[in-house]
Amino acid sequence: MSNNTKVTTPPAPQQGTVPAPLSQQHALLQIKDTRVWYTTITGEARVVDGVDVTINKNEVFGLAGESGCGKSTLVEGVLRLIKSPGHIKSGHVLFTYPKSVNGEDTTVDLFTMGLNEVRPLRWQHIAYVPQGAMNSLNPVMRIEDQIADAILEHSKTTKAKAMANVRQRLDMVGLPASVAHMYPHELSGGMKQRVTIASAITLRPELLIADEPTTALDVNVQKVILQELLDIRKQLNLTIVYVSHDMAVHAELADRMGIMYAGVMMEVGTTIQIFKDPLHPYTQGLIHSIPDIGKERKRVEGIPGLAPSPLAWPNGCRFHPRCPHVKDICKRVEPPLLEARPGRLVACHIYSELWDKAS
Amino acid sequence: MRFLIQSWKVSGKFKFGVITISILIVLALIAPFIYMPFTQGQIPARPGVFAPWMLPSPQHPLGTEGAGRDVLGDFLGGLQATLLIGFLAGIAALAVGVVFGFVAGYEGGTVDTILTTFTNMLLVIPSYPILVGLTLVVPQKTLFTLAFILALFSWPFAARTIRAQVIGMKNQSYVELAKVSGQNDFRIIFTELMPNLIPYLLMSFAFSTVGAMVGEVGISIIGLGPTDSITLGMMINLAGGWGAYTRGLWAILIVPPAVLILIFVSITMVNRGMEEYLNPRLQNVTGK
Amino acid sequence: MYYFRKVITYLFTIWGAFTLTFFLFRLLPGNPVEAWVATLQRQYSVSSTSIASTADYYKQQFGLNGPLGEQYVRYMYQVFIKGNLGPSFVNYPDPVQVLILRRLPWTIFLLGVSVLLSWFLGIIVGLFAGWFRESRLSSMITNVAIALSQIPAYLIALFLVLFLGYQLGIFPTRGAWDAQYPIGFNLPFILSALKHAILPVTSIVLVSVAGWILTTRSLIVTQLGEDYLNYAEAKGLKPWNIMRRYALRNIMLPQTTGLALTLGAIFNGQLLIELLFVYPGLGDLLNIAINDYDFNTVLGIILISILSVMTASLLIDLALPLIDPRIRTQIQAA
Repeated sequence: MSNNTKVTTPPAPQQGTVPAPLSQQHALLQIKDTRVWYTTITGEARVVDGVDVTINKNEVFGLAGESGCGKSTLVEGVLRLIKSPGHIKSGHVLFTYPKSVNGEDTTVDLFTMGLNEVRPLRWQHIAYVPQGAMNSLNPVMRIEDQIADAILEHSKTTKAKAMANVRQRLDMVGLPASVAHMYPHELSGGMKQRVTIASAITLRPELLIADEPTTALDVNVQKVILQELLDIRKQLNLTIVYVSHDMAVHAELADRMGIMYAGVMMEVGTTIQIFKDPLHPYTQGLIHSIPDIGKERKRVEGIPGLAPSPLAWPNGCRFHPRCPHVKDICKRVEPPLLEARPGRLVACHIYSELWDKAS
Repeated sequence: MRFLIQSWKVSGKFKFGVITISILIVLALIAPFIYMPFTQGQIPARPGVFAPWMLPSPQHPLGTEGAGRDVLGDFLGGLQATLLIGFLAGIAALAVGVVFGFVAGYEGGTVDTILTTFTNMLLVIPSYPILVGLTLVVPQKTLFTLAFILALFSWPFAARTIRAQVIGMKNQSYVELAKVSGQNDFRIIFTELMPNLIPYLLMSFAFSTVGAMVGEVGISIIGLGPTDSITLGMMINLAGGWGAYTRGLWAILIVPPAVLILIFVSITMVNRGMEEYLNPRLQNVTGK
Repeated sequence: MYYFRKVITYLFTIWGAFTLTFFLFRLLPGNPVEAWVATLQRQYSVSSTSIASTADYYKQQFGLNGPLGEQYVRYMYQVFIKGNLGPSFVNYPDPVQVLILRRLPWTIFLLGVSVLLSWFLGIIVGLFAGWFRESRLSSMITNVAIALSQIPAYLIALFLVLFLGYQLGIFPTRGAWDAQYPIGFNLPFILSALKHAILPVTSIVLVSVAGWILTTRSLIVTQLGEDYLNYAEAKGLKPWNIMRRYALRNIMLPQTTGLALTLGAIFNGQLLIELLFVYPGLGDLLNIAINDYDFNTVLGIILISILSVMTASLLIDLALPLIDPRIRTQIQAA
């Protein structure tokens, strides 16, 4: 895995297709200064409020953070699934994919494209495993029809071939062929989740975005499904963005991780780095709140304080009201996401040169 | 109260409905002051005061009808009577509905089964034939007895709505808490359930009112209205086999049905406005 | 067990509703024979002894003799065991069922066409109104539908008759066909029947289409919040396909159920419309019968109505588990 990709300032995003610069050949998805806000009676809820992160080809990128930090909204924004009263306030999402005609890569900005232009990319290049598969399947359609409809929409294949594809994908996620004829209510939660995974991989997309796919399932089923995801990823050369609040899941699955808090990215690094040596005080808090099994029992430390409201994020560093190291500068200046160590980004004043001098 | 203010703020329909129905009610209240000069001080229902089928003139701005009554007087008196019938029947239906709904919903079990089965039986009997049958034979068919008869057919809907709401609320934690802490049932009903049910009571009332008025028009239109007053429905009957049409008396043809429609529309809008406040999904535009 | 309970409820409700109706009418002061006898006495001054025997004879014919309980048992036996609704008074001695059967086709035609037409139009308009719920046209349609939904159809009919019938003279306002054409399967008759149906059907449709628009719209709006619609969009399905295959498909079950219930209720919905248009259906018959205290005919019409409402709802209860796999599972689980 290319863990130490150098993140440089990206070129100014343009409308539509942009040739990928050499320095970013490995980047599959570049999320830049993305803001997704919700208009409410009491004002704008700045749920995602300026996220910058790059997802590389063939990695599993774990997106972590407490619930309400905006991680689901971020991926829904990337997928262009935000519905009114939510809206994309600003930002660019550059997606690089191979165009089948001449084998060359094309980069598009998902945010400036019209929905009609985004539609052909869906499922063929970007697939999605939704949060809560329970309600994501149409209750009055057979499983096979639900999976096949995306195939038939995007390719000029025959119905028989599409059905054969469906069987094969169901098999890949460990479901018997008989499931194809069933209706969603006849399946267990784990089976439904597998169906959404099978559906997502029918057209061999480059990018799979999975939003808390296993959260509602019991631990055993969760483990099996995670293993299946990893197998599938190997077989199909997938890039996966995996959203979860569960650090233990990320530890098992992710190559690199991004930690979100209050609508912004606090820290990005490899999973090993983040678990071994978390830089941001918030990340440190998250890691410490995982109970260590096998080690001497000690009280699990949560992070004191409450998560802030997207209607009024704290000034300066958004974490400062809960931060044990808070200094005056944290209350005034919002720290940018900078490379603190090679390949590691963190948004915290502690790692700036000014920290020691600050009061 | 807060609920009404919120509905007013949220829903344009509610505003429209409240304003329209208020204007009509005020018109009905001051009706005698308006029609007295044209009816020579008589109550509108008294027949044969004037020559029949007179065309509009300064003495009779809307003309007179076949029974020799002033059409303006008919109309204003009819508006009064129709609204009064609806109001009385609505109150009566609500009262019965509340008792049935609360007892069935709160008690549950066998009592509920019996009451619900009975309500359902009443709901499947076509009401119009029976309404007509009753109005044919009832000895003193005044406005009040008629309202009472109409209420007989309006309460099952109210009972059903209220029962559903009571059942929904009964299992909520604050009611269970009150029960566990040993409060008696009446107290729970009046202090915990009633306040939360007010919107639904208002809606049931409005619904029963409309139902009763529709029923009143239905029987008055075939000439079976109250004997002591004129209603808007009776005016439609009085237009008399289109005698009014051939004589060019447009007012009596158009005004009563138009005003009835306005009444129904405005009450429906009030109801819908309240529903929209309770269930924002119904609003035309969400968010924003 | 589920089916058994449904059938029992069905029979019990029919029995209860019908019994209530029976006693209500018997307890009303006045009965047809007495009224008729009174007229006879007044007009022909027949001696009271011969009157008494005549009255007794007819009371027996109409099942009005003996104590109330006995009348009830006799009537129920005759109706439910022998399938005979008794002689009619308005058309003596024709039995009520003959009278009803003669008029039934007209009511079924008028109301059937109206219900199906409003259902079809309402679903289409409601689908678009719900799908584009934020558009101005949609909220306009919705507001108009809300306004129309609670207006009795006969008030609308008054205006239609006045303007399209009387003033412009485009459509006929009385009867079901021109008497000059023989009833039967011939084109002039059919065209004439259709032409006569236009005003009554339009009045009913204008009101009931509003109801269908509103229910469809709100079902669709509920759908829009469902995860599976969002998911279908994520799959890159075209909006048109999502609307048809996901949104519309999911509302067809409740709307078809609604259609069946409405069809079941066609005998008690629009009696006044028939009256207003002098349409030879059950509503017209009912009016004649009630004015003559013809208990047998009135009860017969009410029975038809109760039976039809209850049968529609029973059929739905029995058919739903076959159509909707979710309900089947629930029943099996229970």
